[in-house]
Parts: sequence; C-alpha cells; structure tokens
Amino acid sequence: MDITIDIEDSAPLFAQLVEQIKEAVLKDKISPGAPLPSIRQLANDLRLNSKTVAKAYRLLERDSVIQTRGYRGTFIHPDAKINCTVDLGEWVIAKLSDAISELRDGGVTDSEIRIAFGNLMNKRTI
Amino acid sequence: MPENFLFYIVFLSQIILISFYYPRQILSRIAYVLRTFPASKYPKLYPKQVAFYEIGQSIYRVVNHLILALGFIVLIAIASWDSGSSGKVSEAIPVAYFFVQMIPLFIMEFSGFAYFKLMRKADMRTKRKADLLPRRLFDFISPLVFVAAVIMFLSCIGFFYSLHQFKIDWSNDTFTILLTQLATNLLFAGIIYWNLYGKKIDPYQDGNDRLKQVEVTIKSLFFMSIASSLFLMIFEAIDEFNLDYFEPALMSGYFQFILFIGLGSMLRNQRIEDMNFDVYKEDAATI
Repeated sequence: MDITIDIEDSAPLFAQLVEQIKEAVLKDKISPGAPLPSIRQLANDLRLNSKTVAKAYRLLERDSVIQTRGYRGTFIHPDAKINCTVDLGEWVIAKLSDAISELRDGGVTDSEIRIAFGNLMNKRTI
Repeated sequence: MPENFLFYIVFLSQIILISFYYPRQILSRIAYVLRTFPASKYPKLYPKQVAFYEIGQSIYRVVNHLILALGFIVLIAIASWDSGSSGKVSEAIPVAYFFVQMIPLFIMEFSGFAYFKLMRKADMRTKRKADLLPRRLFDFISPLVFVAAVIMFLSCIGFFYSLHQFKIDWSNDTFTILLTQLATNLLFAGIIYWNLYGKKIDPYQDGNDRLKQVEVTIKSLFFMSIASSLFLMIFEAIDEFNLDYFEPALMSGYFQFILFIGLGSMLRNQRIEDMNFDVYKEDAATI
C-alpha cells in the first residue's frame, strides 16, 4: 500500500498523511493490526521532516486510528475503521455552536465572545 | 620454497578475480545499461552527458588493467625471490595488493554517490511516494543467521581469550581483536540501519528494486561478519600451531571470499535484467 504526498498541495503535509492513512483504512487497503513504518522510515522515504510524520502519527493515535505498542512499533488500531468516521472537527463546531448560542442568549456580544475565546486560547490554561 | 606454491595459486586467483573477473562483470553491466536504456528514452538515468559515463567506464577499465599487470609483476617478483630464498612470503603482500585493487571500487562507489546526488538535484517532482509497510531486519534475514553472527562474534572473542590464559590486557591480541571486531560489526550495523531506515539515494528507484537491494546488502554484511570472525580464529590457530606458511594464502583467500559474498553477491542477485528502468523514462509517472 503506497502513500503519496504533494509538497505543493495547499493542505498541510501532516494532514495529507492523516487523510491518506484514514482513507486506506476505510477502503480496507490496510487492515486492523497491520504494522506501520516507523516515523524515521516514513519521513526519510517521503523526504519530510520527522516532526511532520510524528505530528500525523500523534493525531492518528489521538483519534484511535493507530496505536503504538512500545518498542514493537506502530499498528493500525483494531477499531480503526469505526474511529476513522468520527470527525472531531464536526464535534468541535457542534460544541462551540451550543456554547455561542447560550452566550448570545445571555446577552453577551459577538466581540466579547471573540475576545474571551482568543484570551482563553492564548492562555492555553484549559 | 615449495610451501609457497599454495600461495602462488591463491594469489593468482586474487589477481584475476578482483582485477579482471569482477571489473569485467561491472563493465558489461554498465555497457548493457548504456546500450539498452539510451539517454533519449531514459533521460532521468543520465543527470550528465552520456560521454561523461563513457569516459568513466574507460578510466575504470584502464586502471584495472594496470592493477592486473602490477599483480602479475608482483607474482613474478615473489617467485624469482623465492627460488633463491628459504623464507616464507610476507602476508603483507596480499594485503597491500588487495588495498590497491580496492582503489577503483572505492572510486566507483564515491562516483555513485555523486551520481545519485546529481539525480536528486535534477528531480523536480512535487509528489512523493512511500510504501506504508515497515522494513524490519527479520523481513530480510533469517533470525538463525543473526544468531549465528552473534555466536561467531562471541566465539571469536572467547577463542582469543582462552588462548591468552583468560587474561585481557593492553599487551595481548584479545583486546585488539575485541575492539576491531566491535568496530567492524558496529560499522556493519550502521550500514544495515541506513539501508533499512535511511534516505533513498536513487530518487526514482522502484520500490521492489530497493527491497531487493536492501536484502542483498543485509545478507552480505551478515555473512561478512560471520566470515571475519571465522577468519580471525583460523588465522590465530595457524599462528598458534606454527603453520605460518599458510598465512599469506589464507589472507589472500579471505579477501577473495569477502569480495565474493559482498560484490559477488550483489552482481549475482541484483540482475540488471530484473530491474525496473521504466522509472527513468521521461514520461514515467510523476511519482
């Protein structure tokens, strides 16, 4: 199973990796439990920085699409196919929409929401 | 001395194998590539003008012929000296000659790196492809061979250790052998790691050809490691049992064996006819 990235594509390189691995899982091109190349191997094969591949792997692990088993390496998660369909982006939008609606109902203005949101994101305390 | 007769035969074989047989095989491979995959159809294969590679080919041929002639001169000189002497041939002769024989191979190896560097520089593709399968050591070599190499390494150290009354100090061979064998095996381990996980030096190389190359390299290095441990033990045993006359012949034989399982294995197992050269075509896929 090959993976292809385009360095001139507008999508970030790590996002291209994430998308293609998810696509491979969804299309059964790669099965649950299958081993994946190490970060170094994939980065060298694609002539990318190791940090880019590490970021893609981190996001896939967060989404339970892949799992790291210590020194044995990285594998496709047993529930990867189901987990691939979970769109965290949609979930974030739904959650924020609820919060914004509640704040507006309470009389908070849009600019106040933006400032508060910006401050919270900058602080990164939560 | 009649005892030196074995050395003459083995040294003659060293001269012919390393300075005639293998260079001829390499040159015929280069000629086959130049003839079958011309620059007009396979431009990616030639980052420089074809004439440049033809000149390199001629230089390689001439240098090897000179070294071959030198080998025969050395052999005749030893035979002349031997007829009026009672001493044994120094083992430094096959060693020194082997290093001279390796010069064209080293030059070719370094030229190869420069060639692939030019190829990478000329590669303007924006799409990059990789296989989503891990490359692991035991995909390319049997665990038995790995265990055999480790056992041979430990046996070699143990053998020297026992010969020197189980003492290790700066003055005896055990320490030197331990360091030399460690350094050699670490170098081999580094090359294996680089082959498994390192960057692809030929940007266009077909995935299957790469896997084949990795397999041949790893197998060769493991067998070289086993051979070096075995050779050192035999060499020391010969020394111990005062069979010094075999040393030059053994040394020469060892170099030939190393080349046979290194370069020879590459030439036998990575056949040009089996490689995918379509990747070097102008209209080959962008990835």
